[in-house]
Amino acid sequence: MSAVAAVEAAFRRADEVRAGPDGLNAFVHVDREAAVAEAAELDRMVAERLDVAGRPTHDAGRSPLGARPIAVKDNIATLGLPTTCGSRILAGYRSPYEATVVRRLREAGAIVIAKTNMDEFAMGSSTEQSAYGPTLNPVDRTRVPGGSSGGSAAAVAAGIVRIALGSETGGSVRQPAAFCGVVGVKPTYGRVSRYGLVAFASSLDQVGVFGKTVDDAAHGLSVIAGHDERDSTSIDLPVPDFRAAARESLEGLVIGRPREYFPDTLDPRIRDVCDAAAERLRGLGAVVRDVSLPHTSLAIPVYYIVAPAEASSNLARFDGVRYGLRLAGDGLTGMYEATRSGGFGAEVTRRILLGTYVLSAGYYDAYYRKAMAIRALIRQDFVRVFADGVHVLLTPTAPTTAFRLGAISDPYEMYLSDIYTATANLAGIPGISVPGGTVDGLPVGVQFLATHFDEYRLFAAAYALERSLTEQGEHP
Amino acid sequence: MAGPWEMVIGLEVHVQLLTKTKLFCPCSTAFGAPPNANTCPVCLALPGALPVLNRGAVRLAARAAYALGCTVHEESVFARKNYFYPDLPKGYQISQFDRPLATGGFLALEDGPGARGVRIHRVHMEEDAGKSIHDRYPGHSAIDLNRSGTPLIEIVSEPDLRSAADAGVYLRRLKQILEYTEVSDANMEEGSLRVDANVSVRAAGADALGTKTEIKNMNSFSGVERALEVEFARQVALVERGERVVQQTMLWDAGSGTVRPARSKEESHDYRYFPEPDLPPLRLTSAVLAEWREAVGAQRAEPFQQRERALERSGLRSLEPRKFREVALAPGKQLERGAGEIDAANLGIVLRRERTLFALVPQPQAHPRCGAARAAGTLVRGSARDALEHEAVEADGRIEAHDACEA
Repeated sequence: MSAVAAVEAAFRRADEVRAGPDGLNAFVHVDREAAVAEAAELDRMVAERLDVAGRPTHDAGRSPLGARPIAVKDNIATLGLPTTCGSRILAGYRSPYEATVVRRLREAGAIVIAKTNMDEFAMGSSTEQSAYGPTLNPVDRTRVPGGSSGGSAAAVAAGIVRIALGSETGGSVRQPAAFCGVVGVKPTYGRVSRYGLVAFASSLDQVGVFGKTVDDAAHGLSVIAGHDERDSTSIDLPVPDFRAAARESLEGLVIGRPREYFPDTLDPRIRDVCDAAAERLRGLGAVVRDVSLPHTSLAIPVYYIVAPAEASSNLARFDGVRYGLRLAGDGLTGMYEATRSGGFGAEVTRRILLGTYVLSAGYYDAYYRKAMAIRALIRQDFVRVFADGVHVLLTPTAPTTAFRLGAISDPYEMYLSDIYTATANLAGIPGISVPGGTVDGLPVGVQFLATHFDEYRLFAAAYALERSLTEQGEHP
Repeated sequence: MAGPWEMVIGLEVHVQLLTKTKLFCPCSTAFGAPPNANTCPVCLALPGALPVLNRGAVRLAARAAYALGCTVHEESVFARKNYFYPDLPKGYQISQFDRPLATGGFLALEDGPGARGVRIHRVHMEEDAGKSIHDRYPGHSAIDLNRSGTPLIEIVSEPDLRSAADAGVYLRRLKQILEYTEVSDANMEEGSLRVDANVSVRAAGADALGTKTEIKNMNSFSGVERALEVEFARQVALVERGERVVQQTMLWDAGSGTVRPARSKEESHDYRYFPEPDLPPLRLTSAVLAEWREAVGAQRAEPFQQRERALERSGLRSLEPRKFREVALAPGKQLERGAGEIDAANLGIVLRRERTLFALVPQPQAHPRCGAARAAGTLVRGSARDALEHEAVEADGRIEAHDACEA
């Protein structure tokens, strides 16, 4: 299929499912004409066998991804479409440069057809905290798609694109992937460049990929992964061909089942989906072993100190001086107060206040320093389990299925939605959520976690589970 | 209480490093560009931009630290210093806090063995802010971010100075070292060297330190000396009246020769320092550090004092730059771009760097082709660069002569 045909098909599908503000509200910025024009240019280059720089080439031309329409979360800088982080404070902001991940995808033949809705500055687990209003879950439009990358998850689940970019700070790709019944991968911290990802909590943030299938996610991650000299925290390690993991046998793979992720309070139907998945993998030759990650229960408290602390600093640049919203006030301080009070929503304001507090003189040692010490223990839990011979961990992605819009109003209850995902961000390890089954017709995600830079094994387990479910007709 | 009273001074000196590019992005540090011309997503703090450390700046910072006898640490950590100001685009300054680049140095105030001196507490790296311009557009302030992200070091002394005169000696010697090691132009009038002073008084011979104040806003070494005397007198008067010195920031007003308290808003910051998550700890191998230390050692061994004495003899040393321009330039002789050097007979080599003149001693053997002059240890940094005109200065490939001449 030509790029133009692929892009036009995606837009037709977006119309059918009403992806815009009158429907799913998954897309917040779209420019059809520009996307089709870009696709036409790509078709020309492929036809003339030109590479990305317009030079003749002997291979297939500018298209290792095969002319794919993709969607990109609104906190990743793109040229052309605005980059507003779902926030009023960046209304209309267009980045004069593009994120490394977007450039790599474009150079591989992807066409960005839309920017997707999100919780403001990626702070939320339901995509209800957006200046553009909530995104609906395509599986059940009375429910949330999860968050914060809910728009990207919904776009993939609704069949508009096969690959979409999201971002993770505490589970913002894996949890919506689970809620919407798609695949979502969070790479190792440092595997993917953060250059152009608008920072929420710099030591936790990673760009992640949604895929309709495991192969789509593997394909997308293969393109964006790798060292970037513009991001000093990106690591210079070779990137394996993640798609080759599809051919791996699970014979001898050691799967850990961390008991802290299966408490007595866990919904038994979600436990059953996970146990069934483990059983399938055992049938393919894997060994399943119970393990313990004793500091798991501290992850949410630690996360809600570290992430807001960094956020309070990262979001200081939205001050009304150089770009974005500026509201008049009395003098300089008044302008700051008016702009930031008027520009940030309630959840962002809450976290900035929390983060400012925990870094304040006299409180730093009690909160931030202690949280960082516990963070090291959480990381150590994983390091030890993987050193003991476990290759991947299998857990639920989220403690519930997608909840109804407006059902959770207590912030702390919302935070608990990330209870099984935030640990990976704190430890820096990779994780993937794969559809494992349904409860009451709603998707349940099975999560795999692996040691640092071992996304390949994650994909091996994910491919195997997906194939096993598909072969037995239990997978859509 | 009665006198005699002793003044206790510690100095914090910010110095701009002579790199061609900024500390965390590839933008030029050249002076005199149109406002906001030397900016990019990183130093404008656009959403999503990230810092990448300039290793050349690290080398210069370490060189300064070694020249001051410090220990340079194999691992140091950048930290964010958070505060809101329009010319601070990120809302935080990337600096170093509890793990600085270097600690524990010494600067001698006299020559010879056993000389008096000042202990250096620490040398750390940080980025500069931009400039706010309040007087150009009525009712508005303008922001120029060309300087945003320019590399600085902060050199913090122990409170070892006991007189304003000694503070002057310290600053002049520090400036010489920074120029001579080609770390900085160290020009206070241009802002490439800035001084804040911490001052307290105590009864002579007492051990405990008194309550200190910090003096800011001084524009010259002589201004520092005058400000210290004025603040000392103010504190002594307070103490002799039985009042307490209040810990606060004082602003020097050179016009009236007075100090006044800064508004409380200008000082009551809680900077909420925390480790900069966008930059891994700065690690330097012992081999690299040894190489840098040896290079500085060789430089220090050159006949430093000899050059200084020659400068004194020439009568140029004590002249302010503006006055020097008049003296150094014979009537009818213009400083031209490309001239690089003007051999003004007995006045030696006169060179232009940006808007400032540097003096050099007469040295018959020192043809301004600089190589020889540098070897003889007679050229200060800025002049060497200009005399070389379009050639890169060998000592630091990042800096090219024509940068300075195009200002």
